[in-house]
Amino acid sequence: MLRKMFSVRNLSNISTLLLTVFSLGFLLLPIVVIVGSSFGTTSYLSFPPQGFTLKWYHKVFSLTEFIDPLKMSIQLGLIAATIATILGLSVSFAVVRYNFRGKNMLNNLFLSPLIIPLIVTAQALYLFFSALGMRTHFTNLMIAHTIVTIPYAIRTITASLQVFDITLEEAAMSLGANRLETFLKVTLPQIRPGVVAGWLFAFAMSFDEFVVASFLSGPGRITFPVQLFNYIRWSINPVMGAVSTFLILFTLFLAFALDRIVGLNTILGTRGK
Amino acid sequence: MCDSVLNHARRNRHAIFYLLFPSLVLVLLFIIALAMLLGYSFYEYVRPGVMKPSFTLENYVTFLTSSTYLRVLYRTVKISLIATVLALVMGYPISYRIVRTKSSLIRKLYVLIVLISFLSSILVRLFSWRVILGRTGLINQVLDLLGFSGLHSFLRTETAVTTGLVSFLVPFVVLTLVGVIDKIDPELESAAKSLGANEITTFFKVTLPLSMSGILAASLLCYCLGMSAFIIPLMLGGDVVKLLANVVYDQALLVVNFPIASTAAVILLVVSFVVIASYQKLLQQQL
Repeated sequence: MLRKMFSVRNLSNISTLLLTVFSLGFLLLPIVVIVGSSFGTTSYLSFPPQGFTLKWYHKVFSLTEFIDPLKMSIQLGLIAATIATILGLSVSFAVVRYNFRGKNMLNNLFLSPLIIPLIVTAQALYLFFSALGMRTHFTNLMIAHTIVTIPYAIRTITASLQVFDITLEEAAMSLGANRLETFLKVTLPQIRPGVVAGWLFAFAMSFDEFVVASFLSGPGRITFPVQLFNYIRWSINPVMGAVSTFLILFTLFLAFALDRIVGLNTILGTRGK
Repeated sequence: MCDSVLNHARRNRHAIFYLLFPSLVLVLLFIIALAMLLGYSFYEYVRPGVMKPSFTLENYVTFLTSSTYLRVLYRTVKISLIATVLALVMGYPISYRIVRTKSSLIRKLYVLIVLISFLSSILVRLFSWRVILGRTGLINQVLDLLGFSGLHSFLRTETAVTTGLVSFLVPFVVLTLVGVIDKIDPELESAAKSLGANEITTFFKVTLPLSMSGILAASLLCYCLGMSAFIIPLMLGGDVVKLLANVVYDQALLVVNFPIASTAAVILLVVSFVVIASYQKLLQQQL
């Protein structure tokens, strides 16, 4: 009995389990700590929290300095993610369906913002916009965020186009539908999960993006992450703990939405069981 | 009938290139911006905000002979490598468990934890690490209980930056590895075991070699993300532990020395790309 318990099989099983639990705990630790400490009564964040209060949550609603940046980030995310998805759709379509010279190079070019360090992208675009005298911060950020988020859209949309059964399109066209009708009525509904997931990833990426935004924001026109950074850089203010908790709730919502729309297996690229 | 389908296809062959046009404009803009960055790295620095068009290698000489910059470069590579290894060590077991766990509920729980960590704001997580690693933070409380007292804050140390980087990288490792491990046929493991190999031998002789392509891809991704880490050192390293990206930022926006900032950015790009290229060669040999 004892020998069986300490068999190599059990030991290796237990050791991978322990490593997994430890690693997952390591991932969860910052999330648990920030949510937990936001309920403490001390005037600085501490964990474990002392006492219990909701006063920091009340104070969140009087943080007027965050309203404009939040609005700006939401607008920016909506616009950049939508443009990136539409452009990503056309690029994926061209790359999956057509053979043309320089196809691989084109695909790599569009994916390159993933490999190029964000700080390099940020500085390059900053230099570009100032050389051209483009001083509208919102437009510049919109262009920059579209460039940075396109790869996310392309990757998920390409994946769903690759598994799409092309004979469905051929059937629709042989029945007299034109290319646009076929795309809107047959192709798009089939690849919708990939398109929606691509949009969500692009939005999440834009909404959380700090490096490019800190280069391209201007006085009075800053994004939410930049403003958040200004507040958390030097202090561990509990009101920011409450703000963080709201952001984590938003993440939870996003994770469940992704699971609902595309399923966790698709996100992970597994066959599922 | 067949003709009309073909005609559609031919005409729309052009349509798709019209569709590509706006994306191409955007990519072109990006390429021009990068070219400008490269060009500015050869310009001459006059005073803050002012530079002179020229073609000088002076900025590169300045960068590569300055002990401060070289120390930052060395630290960036070192922390990226250490964090990559640690992220793989932590990410592999999670990925393996996600693929092989029989209970779909536990599997889903694992995936959700990784996904929440992946999607939650990096600023929020770093803010929390500051609470954890601070002088009165969780780590020091635990160490205090164990009898080590009078400890200093962990903030502004390489340990803090490495910790933050690892926690940022683990989800990327898992998202890369799960798909690869999933493709390994469990029958192969059973076969090895039925031939007398124990769990450990099976892992090192069968499972690990078969997941090597995923491990290489994940480590490449981690290394690149580590090399370009910016907010992590900014929040956890402060003024003490700066990485290469922080030098680019400081020179560009605080000192307003565009030539040297561009030089640092180009060097960052080159150091990343050399590794990507040699890795891809390694990957091709693997396949």
